[in-house]
Amino acid sequence: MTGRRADRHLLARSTLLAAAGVAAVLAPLLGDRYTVYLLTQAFIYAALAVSLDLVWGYAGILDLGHAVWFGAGALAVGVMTTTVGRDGMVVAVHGGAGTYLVAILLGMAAAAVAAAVVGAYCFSWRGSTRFYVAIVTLAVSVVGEALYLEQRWTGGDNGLFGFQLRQLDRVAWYYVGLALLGLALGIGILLTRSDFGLLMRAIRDNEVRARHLGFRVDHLKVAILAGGAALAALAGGVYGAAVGLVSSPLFGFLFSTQIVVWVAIGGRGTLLGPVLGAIALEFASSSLDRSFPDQWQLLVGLAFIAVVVFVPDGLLPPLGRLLERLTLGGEGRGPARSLLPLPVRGRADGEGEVMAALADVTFAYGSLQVLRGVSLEVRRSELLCLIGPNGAGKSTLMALIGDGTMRHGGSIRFGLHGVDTHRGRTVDRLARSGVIRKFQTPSLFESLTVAETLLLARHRGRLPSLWRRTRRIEVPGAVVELCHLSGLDRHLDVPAAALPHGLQQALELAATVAAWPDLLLLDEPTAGLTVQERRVVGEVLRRLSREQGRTILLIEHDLDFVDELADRVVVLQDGGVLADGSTDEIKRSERVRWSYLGVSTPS
Amino acid sequence: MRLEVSGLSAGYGASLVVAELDLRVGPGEVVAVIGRNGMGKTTFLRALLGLLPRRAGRVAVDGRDVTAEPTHRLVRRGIAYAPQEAGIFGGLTVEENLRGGLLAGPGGPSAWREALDLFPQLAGRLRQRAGTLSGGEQRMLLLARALMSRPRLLVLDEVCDGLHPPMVARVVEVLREQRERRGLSVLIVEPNLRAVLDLADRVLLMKRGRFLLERSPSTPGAREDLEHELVFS
Repeated sequence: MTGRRADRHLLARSTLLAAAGVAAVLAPLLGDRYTVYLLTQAFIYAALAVSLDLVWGYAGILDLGHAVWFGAGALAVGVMTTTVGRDGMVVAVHGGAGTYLVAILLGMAAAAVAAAVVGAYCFSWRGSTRFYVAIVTLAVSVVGEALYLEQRWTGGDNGLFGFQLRQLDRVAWYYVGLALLGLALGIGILLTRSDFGLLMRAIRDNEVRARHLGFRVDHLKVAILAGGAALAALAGGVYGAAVGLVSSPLFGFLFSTQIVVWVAIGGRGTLLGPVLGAIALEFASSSLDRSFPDQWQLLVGLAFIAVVVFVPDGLLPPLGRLLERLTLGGEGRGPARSLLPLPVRGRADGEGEVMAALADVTFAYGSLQVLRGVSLEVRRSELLCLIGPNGAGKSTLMALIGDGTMRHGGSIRFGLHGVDTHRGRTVDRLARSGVIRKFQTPSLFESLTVAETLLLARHRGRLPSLWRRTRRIEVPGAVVELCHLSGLDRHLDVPAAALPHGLQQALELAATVAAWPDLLLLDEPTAGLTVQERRVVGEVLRRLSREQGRTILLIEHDLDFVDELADRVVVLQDGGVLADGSTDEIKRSERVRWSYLGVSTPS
Repeated sequence: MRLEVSGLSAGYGASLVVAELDLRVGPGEVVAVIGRNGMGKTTFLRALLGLLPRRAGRVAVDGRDVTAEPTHRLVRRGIAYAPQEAGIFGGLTVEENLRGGLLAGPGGPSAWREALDLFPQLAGRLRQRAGTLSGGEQRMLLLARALMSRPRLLVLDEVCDGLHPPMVARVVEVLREQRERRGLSVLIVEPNLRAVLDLADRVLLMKRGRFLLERSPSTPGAREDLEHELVFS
């Protein structure tokens, strides 16, 4: 889109937001007491919805027990400001503003710690799918509600009540609620527009690729869940202080589901959608609840199903598109990102030293023996091609080198700084140390654009900024070249999922190079390219190894291409090394001709 | 099978990827569509097979208008498709995948035998989960399954990608043989001319969603024309 149109869009959006802001600020002067009270509650719920949107909508962690964190915030306030009698009834209320503040902070801390424990349990287990965390958090919510009812200090059946902070009147609480929503939205907008926001979406889209780019995915997910829980607990604390009531349903599964419904109906991953969803549904429920007490819940349920079926993205995105078409046209994305070549680096030291040494490596998938004793060395700054029939074990060997947690026989050692050992090192640990693999079939972050993918790859596991949004991405010159040759540079703002297969291949290669690993493991990097394109990509790779000190291990089928490219060739067959030498030696080798090229007699 | 496509247009969202394409594949004919990445080759195949909604155009099989038919009906008419990726059922065994192909057409035991003769590597792994096969072996499985249904038209998207050279030669050999013996028609999409030169009766060059050039590889100068357009246009 043109700059002017972007400006106009920004202006229209700012005007809308400003109008909404003014309306929100003036509302208490116009509305009756009940409306003001309802709005206060709706704002607090909207802040809660924002916290779930960050966790679920952006990072893809479906937290079905989000109410528990909210409840924890409210409970902390209740417990610290009331005294419970022997029969579980509140007998005294105490505490000033300071007590409330401390209680809210403690509630946030408790929720964050509890969420971190739940997250650590869910995410550290290797076999866990993305549904695992949903089931565990659901259980937490159910158990949370049941436990609440059993305790005396929580007020049990009756809950705790009567403790609201009376120094503030209804109108003042209204503004506190508004400020809370503003704070939550502010945090949300800052976070999701930042470089870290990209990482959250990357983890949602493709955890495996994120690990392979060096990110500590498990830790990050625990941190995101804990952060979301803390924000939810803040909302809960404000709710407690404003309403002066905490009881078991606040922890319950029903309330948890309600938060999910707000987010889903509004539009997850949009921040504003969940806010509108929470406010609209909260309003509708309070007015309809009185006229149709029995049918109301059913209506919400039907609306939820309708949204899931007909507008799975929620109501905001289609609404936004409609608005744009009516008023402005074009998409309202921020200004595009661009690539900047980094100055060329000199050769790495230690050329010819051993970069990776494999000794007698064996590996089996169950009863299927894939590798039967592979020994080979990759030297620094070398371009080594791995060839061999389909099923010879090439990709498996590459996977083993890049992942120290796969159980295998023999030994793999690196000549990298700080990673001499291999066994037990996770994919992300090895990636951070400089070993990165490009898969055979493209594995990308579908919603991230080309530029965003390259930006994340550049970080190679370093934590991206939580607030800064990088627009000019510095990448090695080779990446600029690859993008130009493949045509990726004309699609910098296109999401990976919308690229044709060949460009996805090119992007994965470019991202691998952008991460600037010492050892690149490339599984058929030129598949799907034309012969001419292959040649130029080959040229770039060769310069990477000869002039810029990268070590490359590459799987390839096209022998002519291998001939132009490789310093050395290793032929793998039936899980063993059949031959190891220069391309000439390999081409002359009788055994290779017979088994690989399918030539039975010397010509 | 005689396939006739006329005026086919398709795209994603607001963009039109292929526009007004005409193509005929006769019985026993091998037609190749070549072109660089992003030119619309895969989109063309997907629209042709009804996997992507068509914006315009007509598709006819043996003179009968099948434009309105969904994909599974086209398959029952004898069209088999080997897509570029994600074509196998990774959780099923090799054998279960192949049986799926058997269900889709009149193959029977002889087709079973032929496909396993072509890929002896698969014959030894019938019980293995298909998802644990190597990339190249998965391509073999895809091809074997497509042949299993005894199709009358085989639609291949970069089928030899990731296969090692002797295997590519075998596949070409088998396709030729099936064409001669059973009149199999083949439609191939490929970025590289070289891969289809030995096989195709006609080669069409696709450029930004249109066919730019059509040549028969046997005519003199055809190869040079195509190569030139592929690189420079």
